[in-house]
Amino acid sequence: MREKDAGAVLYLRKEPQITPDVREEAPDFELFDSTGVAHSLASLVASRPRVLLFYRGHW
Amino acid sequence: MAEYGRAYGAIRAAGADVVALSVDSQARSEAVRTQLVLPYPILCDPARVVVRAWDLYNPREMGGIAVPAVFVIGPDRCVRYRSIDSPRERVATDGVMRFLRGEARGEVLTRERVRAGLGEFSRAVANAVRRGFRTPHE
Repeated sequence: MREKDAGAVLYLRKEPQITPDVREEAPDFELFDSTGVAHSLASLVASRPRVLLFYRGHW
Repeated sequence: MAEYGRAYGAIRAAGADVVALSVDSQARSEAVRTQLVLPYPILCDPARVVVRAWDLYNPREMGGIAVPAVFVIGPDRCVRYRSIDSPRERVATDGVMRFLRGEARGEVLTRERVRAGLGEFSRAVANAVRRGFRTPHE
């Protein structure tokens, strides 16, 4: 019962899937790059603005 | 991707930097980075966590891929510019450059048609033969 309740709370707290717009704060994330180094968005933009390119990927 | 590689020096000179993101594995992304000699990192989101969270996930193509988009994000994680593009049209790199230089204030940057050259097409075919096509479970 306790586990079920916890699951329900997690579902309700799920972050909305929204593309951040201009003047909004982008949600932070952490991913590995192609060489295995982990980067958070916060660390990537810490010293200078970044152009972030979402691309379709490799065929 | 390659255009931002060629413009990288100018982007750095404008005080900015670049990072790319796709749902490809590290091996595939590294192949792209070395093939195109990209001077910036490629982030890998094979679990599609970030593309979903940012609502930039296209589940209908190629096993589920990112919607092409360009953001400029400031040190406070504040979005300064965004362009949600399509496979056929994307914001012009020189427009993004003008934005970074502060020359495009209030201007709606134009999108240009994506033209895949013969080199790009043959590279894609060669890569597909060498490494196979993407699957949703990759």
